This record gives sequence, structure tokens and C-alpha cells, in this order.
Amino acid sequence: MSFIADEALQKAFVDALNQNEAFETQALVFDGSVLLQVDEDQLWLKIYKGKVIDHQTSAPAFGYTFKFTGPEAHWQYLLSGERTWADLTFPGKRYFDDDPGLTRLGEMSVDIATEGNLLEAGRLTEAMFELAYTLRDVAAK
Amino acid sequence: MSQPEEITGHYIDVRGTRTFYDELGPEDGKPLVCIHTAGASSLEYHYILPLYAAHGFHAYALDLPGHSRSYPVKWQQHRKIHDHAEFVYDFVQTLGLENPVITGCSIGGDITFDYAVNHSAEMAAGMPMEGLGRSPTFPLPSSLVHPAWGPGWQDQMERAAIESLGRQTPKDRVEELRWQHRNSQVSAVGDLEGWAQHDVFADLDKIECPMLVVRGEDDFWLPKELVEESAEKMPQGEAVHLPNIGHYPMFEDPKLIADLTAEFCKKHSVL
Repeated sequence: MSFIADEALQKAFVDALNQNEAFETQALVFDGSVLLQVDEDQLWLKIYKGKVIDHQTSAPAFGYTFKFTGPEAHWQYLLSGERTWADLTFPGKRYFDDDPGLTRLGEMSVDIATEGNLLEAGRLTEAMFELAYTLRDVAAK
Repeated sequence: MSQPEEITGHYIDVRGTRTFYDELGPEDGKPLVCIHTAGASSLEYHYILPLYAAHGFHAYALDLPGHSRSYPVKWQQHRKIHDHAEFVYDFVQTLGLENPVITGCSIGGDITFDYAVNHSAEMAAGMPMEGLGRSPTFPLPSSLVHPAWGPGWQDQMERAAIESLGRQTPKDRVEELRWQHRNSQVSAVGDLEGWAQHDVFADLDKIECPMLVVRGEDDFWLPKELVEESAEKMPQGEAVHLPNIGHYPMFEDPKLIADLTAEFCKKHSVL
């Protein structure tokens, strides 16, 4: 199981997000849901007027607005502070330790992918940076 | 009582385009032209200009067309690094600067490479910071110029900027850099289209002047392997990797960069 499956972390994360004034401001005109997927584990967050009003460990039948998905190793880059959310979510291959010959130069791969309604994900950019760093800070505790 | 800064701003007509630049340094100082990053302006150089001047440079920091106080050429943003580089060359010709040192950061670094590929015989030296001979490290952002297609573009661009600062950058500097990226959203798309497609790598061996490629180790936009290949391809190329520095070296540690620039130029008898 990945870190996101930890129920205590889920609760602490939601509580912290609901204390984050910048997140509330940025998500104030949003009525939707965000799914975080780490390996096969999921955390679904229902967000309404800047607050997380419900969460569960899988998406409901009516789905999600958009999701962030990637292997746990990539999420751990966020939690450890080794990489920024921009680096993890903006496409483009920028590390070549595994490819010294630069054969994959120009590849638009991404560590944590954004899927679903990308217009809404774009509109919620700043809120999602707040969400990501809140998750990092809670996991660090 | 607060005193006016010694930096002076000017407007000049370049190719029919009203163009802004800041200027500082002794009259007989070595001309040094400074080029800013994507979606930003000459404000990125306001800390370092006095330090360049103290080293004996006469420094010029322009706003690229479509950025801050410079109008775009024919009301269209540039979408190629080469168009920016040729505009900077025309800026240099318009001011009558002889044998200048060219420096730039991010797209300004790419512009420095492009400028050198085409005009190195008229350059004393080049110092591209956080730029490359080829930089396909970012997706083509063309659609983002339409707000309805990419409603998060402003925040994404600002985050792309501030998150690549050195990790030790003070919070007030982070906020300052963010503001510096808040007045050229449309041109920033063209800048990054240019970055994504920029490739003068095959011609780097034609560059005749000394070139110092600067990379901050905290800058995730710039693979160190691409910095090395760019430096190695140039006959007089060198690379330096700076710890605790990100994507904006001249803004993050102006003294370090001013000293490095002067040291490099003195080593090559340019200053």
C-alpha cells in the first residue's frame, strides 16, 4: 500500500487543506472533485466553495473532475522535497541519468499526469499547487 | 530621504518598434547587453546593473518586443528564438555598440546562443545563463495564448518561474519574481514556443568568441547533460554549474554573476 492509503494521513491532509486560506481562495469558485492516484491507491476529494466537504478512497460512480496520477516513486519526489510540483506535473523529459545518450531528448513524458477535465485543472492551477504542498507538509509530520 | 537610482531608462526606435532599455555604466565601459527570461522584462537585471557598472561594463538591459514597456513588432509576439536574437542584434546596431558582450537568461540564454551562431564575429564574448544550444524540454504551448483554451496559463507560467528559483531564495524575492512575470502573458507563449523549438546545436562549432554557459544546479528546467554538450560543441566554450542557484542567477545572486562575468571577460582580455 502507498502512503495515500494511510487513513490518518488522509484525515490530517483534509483537515490541513481546510485550514489553508490560499487553497480556499483559489478554489472558492469550484464545485467538483479531484482524485489523487498513487500506484493503485486512490483518494477522492469533493471540493465545494474552497473546502473539502467529503473524501473517500475511491472515485464514486459519478467520477471525478480531474485527477493526478503517477507511481509512488514519483509522488515521493514531492513528499521528500526533491522535486517541485511544477517539475513533476509539467511535461518534458529533463533528467537523463537513465539515458546518457540523450535518445529520449524531446520526449514529453511527465512524472505525475493530469487527466480528466484539463480546463478545470488549468483553472485550478494555483489551488492544486497549494494542495500538493499541503500534502507534502502533512506527510512530513 | 530616498535618492533616485543611477539606472536610467530610455526608449529607442528599433525597426520601427518602440523599445525600452535600462542603462548603467561608465561612458567608456565595455558594452554588455542583458536579455531577460520568458514573459518577463529588464527588471530582472536591476540588482545586477550597478555591479556590472562597478566592474567597468556599460550595461544595457532591454525589454524584448512585446514585453513590459516595449511594443511587439507589428503587434505580433515573436514565436522564434531567432526572431528575438535578430531583434537584439538590431538593437545593438541601432545603439552603435561595438563588439559587445552578450548575456541572457533562459530564453535570453537561448537567444545568446542564436546571436552568437550568427554574429559572433561582432561579439567580444557571450554568457548564456540557463539556456542551451537546443532546448526541447518543454511542450509547445501554442494553444495557451487563448484564455478559453488554457485558463490556468497565467498561474502556470508564474509557477514555472518561481518554482525554478534556487531553493534558498528569500520569500520576498519569490514574490518579486512572480510580479515580474505578470505583464507579458501573451508574449510568454511565443517565448516558450521559441524555447521548445530552439535548436542551433549543429552550428555551435561556428562560434568564434569565448562563451561561458552558466547553469544553476537547482534549475530543473535545464538538464546538465545539455549544458555540457552545448559548451563542448563550441571552440571556446566553458560550462559552470552553480550550487544553490536556480533558473535566475543574475536575480538570485547578482554579485556572484557580476564577478563571474568580469572574471571570464578578463580571462579572455575582453575587459
